[in-house]
Amino acid sequence: MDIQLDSITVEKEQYTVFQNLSVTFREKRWTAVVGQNGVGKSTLLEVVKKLYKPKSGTVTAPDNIGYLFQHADAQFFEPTVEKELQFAPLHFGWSKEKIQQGIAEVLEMVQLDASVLVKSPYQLSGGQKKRLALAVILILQPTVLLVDEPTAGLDPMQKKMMLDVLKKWQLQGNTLICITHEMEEVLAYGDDVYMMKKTGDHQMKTVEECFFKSPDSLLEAGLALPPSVACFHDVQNRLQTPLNPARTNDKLLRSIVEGMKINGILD
Amino acid sequence: MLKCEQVTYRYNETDGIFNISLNIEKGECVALIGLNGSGKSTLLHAMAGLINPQEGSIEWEGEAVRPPKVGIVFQHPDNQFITTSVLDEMVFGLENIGIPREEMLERALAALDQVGMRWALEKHPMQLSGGEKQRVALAAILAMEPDVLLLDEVTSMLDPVAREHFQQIILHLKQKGWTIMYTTHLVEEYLMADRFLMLDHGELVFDGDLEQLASSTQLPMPFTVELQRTFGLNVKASTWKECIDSLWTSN
Repeated sequence: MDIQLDSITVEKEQYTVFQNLSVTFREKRWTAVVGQNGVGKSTLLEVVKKLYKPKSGTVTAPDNIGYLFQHADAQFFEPTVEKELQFAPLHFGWSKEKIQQGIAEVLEMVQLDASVLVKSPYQLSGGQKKRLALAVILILQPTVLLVDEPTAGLDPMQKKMMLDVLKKWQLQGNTLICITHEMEEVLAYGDDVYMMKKTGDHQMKTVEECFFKSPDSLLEAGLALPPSVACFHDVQNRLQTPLNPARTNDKLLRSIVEGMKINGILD
Repeated sequence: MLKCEQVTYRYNETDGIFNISLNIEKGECVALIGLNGSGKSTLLHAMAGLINPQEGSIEWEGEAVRPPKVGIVFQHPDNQFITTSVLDEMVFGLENIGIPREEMLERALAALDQVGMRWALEKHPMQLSGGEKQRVALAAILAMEPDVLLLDEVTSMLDPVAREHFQQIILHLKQKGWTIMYTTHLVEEYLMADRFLMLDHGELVFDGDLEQLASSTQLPMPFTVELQRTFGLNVKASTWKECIDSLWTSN
């Protein structure tokens, strides 16, 4: 099912975060939530997860929603990875066998080796900790996942690994809503973009619309295009010929080179 | 000159930094890169005098490093504030290093001007946006007039506009001759550095400029570098627009 927020108003300490906000997050899509610091992105996710009760308005969403917080370190409290993974299923009364099977499945899903089970969560690297935090949530088999800046602080390899894991999970028919500042990641992995603006005039667009058809909307939201996309538009304007849009830097570069060759700028 | 000589700081047998020797000249802007867990933050903390290496020495102009000679700004803006107003935040460090009262305000205002945050003097730090907090954190360090500025992934939590604003401030400080060393996982930020140091499992495995980094490693590179490589241009720190302009002019 889609996630629907209708006329949501949220006030925090005499400050209105949202006034009559309505938005639909389509099911089975990767929706990136983007906007400047302080625009209310995390509050939005808290409202969807029902961690924060709005002053007015309604939220229609499935019950089994997982929430991956920004700081994975803050989520761990058990002495070993295995106990961390067992905690929630035990709480829900799962059998030992079901828990063991669930652990094996999620470890494979997040690409963690079984050898980490005996370690303390705090012995893991930054990327491993993020993926463990994800596994702790995925073991309960949510169909919707809310993630808050899942790649902040990760090196490029760990970033890619995390994003690939999330994409694979989403493509299995699940819904992902991801807060991020990394516009190249939105371009490469997202389906829809929810642009939150300080004016309250938030907009939902597809990735294609957002980056290629109306790129000014990102700038209006106080955000910036990735250099590769900005360069793509610049060359397209100079050539006055449409180029083929693409989702990755190397493909955009290829499209730019082809356009320049066809128009005689390059041999 | 900042001089690290055979610096080792071990957490255990495999984690830490091992036998690091390097010099950083006055006015250099150096990017310290490497995978998560490679030892970047540990080296910065040792350089800032926050941890004492078990072996080796770190000196600035022949003296052991210690705050406030070396100033450090951390990744999470929220974790750096301890007072209830930007002004108090600015004078806290100055008070601790014994700056006379009459000089404090002058230094605080000058530092806030450098980052464009004088307007926030009376604000509670927690009322500021992430980018604003990070600029105040930087100003609080600048006010202490350190010889070396260490920046540990300072833009990773910022939105693209706040990030670009912060990068402009770093470039401005670089132009003014500050000695800067920063860590980053954002490849576009490579373009700010004159020199790159790469750590791998706590060891220094690369020391060179952008061109050498692009030719001798498999690391992802800024889009501008990819553009320069594709069009056979010299690899150097410039903008994609400058590259495209030069191609248009030459054809």
